[in-house]
Amino acid sequence: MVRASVARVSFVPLDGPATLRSAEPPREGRVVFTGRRTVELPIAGALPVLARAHRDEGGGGGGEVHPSVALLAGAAHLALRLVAEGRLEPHPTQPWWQAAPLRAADRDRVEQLARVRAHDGMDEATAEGLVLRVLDAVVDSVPRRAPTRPVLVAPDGRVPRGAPGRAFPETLEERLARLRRSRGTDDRPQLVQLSLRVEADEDDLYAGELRVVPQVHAEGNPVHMADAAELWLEAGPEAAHGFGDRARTHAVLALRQAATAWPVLDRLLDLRVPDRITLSTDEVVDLLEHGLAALQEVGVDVHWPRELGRDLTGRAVLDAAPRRRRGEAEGPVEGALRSGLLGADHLFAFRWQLALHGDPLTDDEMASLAAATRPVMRLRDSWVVVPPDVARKARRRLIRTVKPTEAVAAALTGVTAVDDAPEVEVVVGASLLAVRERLRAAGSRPPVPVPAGLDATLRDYQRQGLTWLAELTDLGLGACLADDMGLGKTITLIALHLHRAEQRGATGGGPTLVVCPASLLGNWEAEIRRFAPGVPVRRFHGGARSLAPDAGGALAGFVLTTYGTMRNDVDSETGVLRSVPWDLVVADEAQHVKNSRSSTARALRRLESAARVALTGTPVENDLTELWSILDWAVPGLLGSRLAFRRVWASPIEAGVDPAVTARFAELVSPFLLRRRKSDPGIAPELPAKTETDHLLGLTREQAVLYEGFVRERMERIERAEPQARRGLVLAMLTGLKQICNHPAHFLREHSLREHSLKEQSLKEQSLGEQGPRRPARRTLSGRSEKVDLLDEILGTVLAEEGAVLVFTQYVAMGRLLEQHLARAGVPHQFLHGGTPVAEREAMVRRFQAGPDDPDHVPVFLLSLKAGGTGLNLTRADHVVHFDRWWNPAVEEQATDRAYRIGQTRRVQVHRFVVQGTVEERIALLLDQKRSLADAVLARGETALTELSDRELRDLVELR
Amino acid sequence: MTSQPVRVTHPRLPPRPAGGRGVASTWWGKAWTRSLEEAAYGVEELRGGGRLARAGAVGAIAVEVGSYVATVEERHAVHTVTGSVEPLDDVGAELFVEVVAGASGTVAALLAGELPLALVEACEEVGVELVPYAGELGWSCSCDAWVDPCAHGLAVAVQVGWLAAADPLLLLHLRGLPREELLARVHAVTAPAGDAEGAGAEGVGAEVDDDLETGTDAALRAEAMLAGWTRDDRAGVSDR
Repeated sequence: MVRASVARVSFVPLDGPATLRSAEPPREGRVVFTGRRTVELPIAGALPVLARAHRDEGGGGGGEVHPSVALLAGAAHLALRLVAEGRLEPHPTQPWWQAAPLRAADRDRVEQLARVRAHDGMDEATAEGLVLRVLDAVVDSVPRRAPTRPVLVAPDGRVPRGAPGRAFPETLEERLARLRRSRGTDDRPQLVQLSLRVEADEDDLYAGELRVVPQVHAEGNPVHMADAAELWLEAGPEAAHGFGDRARTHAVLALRQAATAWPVLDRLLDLRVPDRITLSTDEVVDLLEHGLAALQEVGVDVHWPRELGRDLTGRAVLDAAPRRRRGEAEGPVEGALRSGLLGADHLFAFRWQLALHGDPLTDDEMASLAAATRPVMRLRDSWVVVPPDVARKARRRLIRTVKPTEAVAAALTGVTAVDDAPEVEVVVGASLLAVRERLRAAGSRPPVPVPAGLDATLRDYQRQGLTWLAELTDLGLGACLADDMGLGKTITLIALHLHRAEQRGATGGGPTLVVCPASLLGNWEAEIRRFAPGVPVRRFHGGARSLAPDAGGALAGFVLTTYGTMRNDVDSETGVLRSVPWDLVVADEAQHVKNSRSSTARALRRLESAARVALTGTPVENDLTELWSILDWAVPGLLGSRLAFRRVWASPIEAGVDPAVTARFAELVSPFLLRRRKSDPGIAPELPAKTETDHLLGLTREQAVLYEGFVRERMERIERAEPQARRGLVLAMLTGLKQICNHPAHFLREHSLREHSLKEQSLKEQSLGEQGPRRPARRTLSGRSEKVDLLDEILGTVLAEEGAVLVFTQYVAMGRLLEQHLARAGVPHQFLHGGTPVAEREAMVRRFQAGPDDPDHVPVFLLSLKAGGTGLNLTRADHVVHFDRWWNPAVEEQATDRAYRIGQTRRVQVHRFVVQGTVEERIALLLDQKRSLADAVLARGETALTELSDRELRDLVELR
Repeated sequence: MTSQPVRVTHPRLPPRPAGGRGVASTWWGKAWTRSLEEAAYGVEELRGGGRLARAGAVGAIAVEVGSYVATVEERHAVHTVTGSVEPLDDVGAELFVEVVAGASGTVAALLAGELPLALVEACEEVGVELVPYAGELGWSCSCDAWVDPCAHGLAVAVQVGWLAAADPLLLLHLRGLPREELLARVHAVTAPAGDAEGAGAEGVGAEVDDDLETGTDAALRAEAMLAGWTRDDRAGVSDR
């Protein structure tokens, strides 16, 4: 045995530094040896290694022993000596052993060790501390059991045993001294463990009774065992059972502890010799129901005879509940496309299925089980123990019926809650298995054909997304598409609508309702018109909104509305949205309903449709509450109520204790959530380096009123003006209109967002034409300009993705307003303009270019520079926003690209804000159409526009 | 069986407040108190003894079969008290042992500080009184009070009552059955042949302490392990 351990031990390096990693309890400490390799050993396993090091220290065995190893070895040696002398005691409050208070000689030894073995990297004080820690660890590792002292205090706090005066180490030393003096060979075990043996012969079984016999096993050697009664019948070294004389008392103590766990055993203690007791039927039932678990906890095993089978188990099976439909035969349900396998009239049920040795019971067998009055019965020619809970399951087989989505959830996670048990494994029946496989494979199915009505080419990943959506909606379930911004969620949805319409053929599909933030309405409409020409699209928004059907009957195509409008409509009595049989309801930027208790979220839930799809650009899987809100809307019933979700999933996952819970949750949710990132391997190659999006926005009412008023006032003056003055007036008007399009505060010079002067206030009120309740000047920029609102949306998404964005504006004043707005919102930003000193510019660039882990990193960079400004390196940006435009698109482009060297190292998305119906839109169109004017503008800037005639000018600026 | 008198010393108790948790809350503690009340001259003396005991004036108490000894401090004077308790006669002791051996769980209960009801009933049946009555108690004190028992004697007796309430084995010790002997005799009653003497092995009644057993076992194992640590020991094994 020594040879084997040495052979193994020589692989452990002793020439490098070694250290002790302490633990609680100390016996679980580990020693880490380093050198040509690193080996970590538990304390008990490290002792032979340290023994070798201690022996070889005189230089006898090849190789140097590192001073830290020698220190550990010396400390371990001292610890063993202390234990051998009995200098150990139970810790006063914790369940482990510690060294008894050191005597002077031992103290000296500790100090000497520390002094001699201290080396560079460890001073004397640290070495001493290490020695003491080693002492604790080794002293706790030698005894076979943890001390019982703290535990054996009687329940009311009384301390038993009549000699509290003698300290433990002294007592132990005394006894060891006595033992060694009379060193005999008495190594009969005294400490015992208790177990129970169940016996029964045929008569007992027919009567439903069992006998219980206590057995004793030697501590540390369970093979050495005997019936407990033998300890009473024989004693002394000649006894056949081979136990020591104190074993009897230890056995009684163990029996007493077992009787505390299961009081029926008290009867054993009342006997003179505790040989056996007979359990009545009720007591057998109690043993099965409570006793086994209670005895397990105090470490008492119960051994059953082979003739008595214990392999009766119950499982929960999930399958379709039998439906009662008139005149329909029952059979496997395939499900038409429309109603889906999981239509509302389908019910599923959890049922108990009992099995013996894994073999399911027949109905007759279950019936006899249910009728059994005894806990032991004959089943299939053998005796079987019937635990009460199994009998209960036989009597009440149906657990409960469930709706389809809950059944799907159980099929995906493989568990369900039954009565008090939160997690019972479920076996999924055949019909649901088919559904589950379809769900899991939805993402990798062969792609559906691109709908004919789609005027665009879908990228591969978009086709995959379309296929996935089509599959889920066909099954009657919902989905959440959470791709990064810019990957084309809108076009994928448009394709889905067309696909569903094509599938219904002549009857056509129902209408699709898209609910989105107001700033995105323009975008949706433009893309629908572009990619699905001929499909009707209308906005349900604004004062005069209505859903009057098109010529030819029912409502079809797309209806676009905002969250606010939807909420108002659903909540009002005269609302129309709820009465439409929507085919699809799409919630764009679904994080707007992440608070499920908001009235908007509740209103959204009241809209009924055949299928629901949520779109979001934020990594929704990071926030479980948000995830619940969105998925609970898209697939109602999948995740349970908000409280149940928190209890069953969110809290355990956030606590992070059991990885199995997180894995099961992923199984549950991943079929319904698809998220691709721009950086994904399949996607990145398909994306161009630079994507440009024109965001078509509208004017708020305040802006519209200001705009029209301003145009009216200024055109009048221009038409009456002298030629020299005219130029200036035109430029001033164009500038003012652009400012209005940006934000009313920009135009009205609300530079610090304080209440502006009374004069401007009255002008504003005049133009607004309101007599109603006076609204106080608002302190934020939100709600008064769609450009700012859209910027907020984009920034929100960018920040959630940990991206970086450049925001360009021509006007320093607008830049300052945005600064204040962002500061108020807590968004880190910086603003660079013509007046920024050069040194500060460099610092700003550095901060922008720093990675997201850098605390100085600022992800939002506002810039106001004339086109062609100095070359700044802003390659970190993945988004660029042109808040307002230079008139010259080419210059704009060159400026951004060349000057800022974007698009070379990462993909960039460029957003251009254009307000529809205003001068912004018109100028761009004009420049496209009239090349000559474009050249002129190239050469001389805006002044070229001043040479337009009055009529042309009016045409340009009037609001459409 | 041991031939020397077994003496167990209980250390001084710290002072405890009056009216705390009932100090003689077990039935035998209360019975002991009743015996003291009867033995005392009057209520005042008993109260005085209680006061002294609660103040922590009683020193360590040495308990032997039939007697207990302790010192009492009162106003810088120290007195020595010896109390006597009539032990059970031989017949009574044997009957008691028989009663304890009658149910295997009794020993465990005693070791845990309990006197099970079944035991008490059985004792009554056979006519064994565990708790001594007033006539079986005696005192002698080095002070010069004329009352017997004096306040010091009562103080020590009260404290013995507290200790016995927590550990009935103390009472049994006074009554003539110290723990080791009780355990050995109970063991002998049921074991037919082969007794506890074998090659100097530890007696049955020795400390039946789980932790001591574990500690002893650990010490012996440590001793065996140390054999492999001595520098001279190569055991003829190459460690290449």
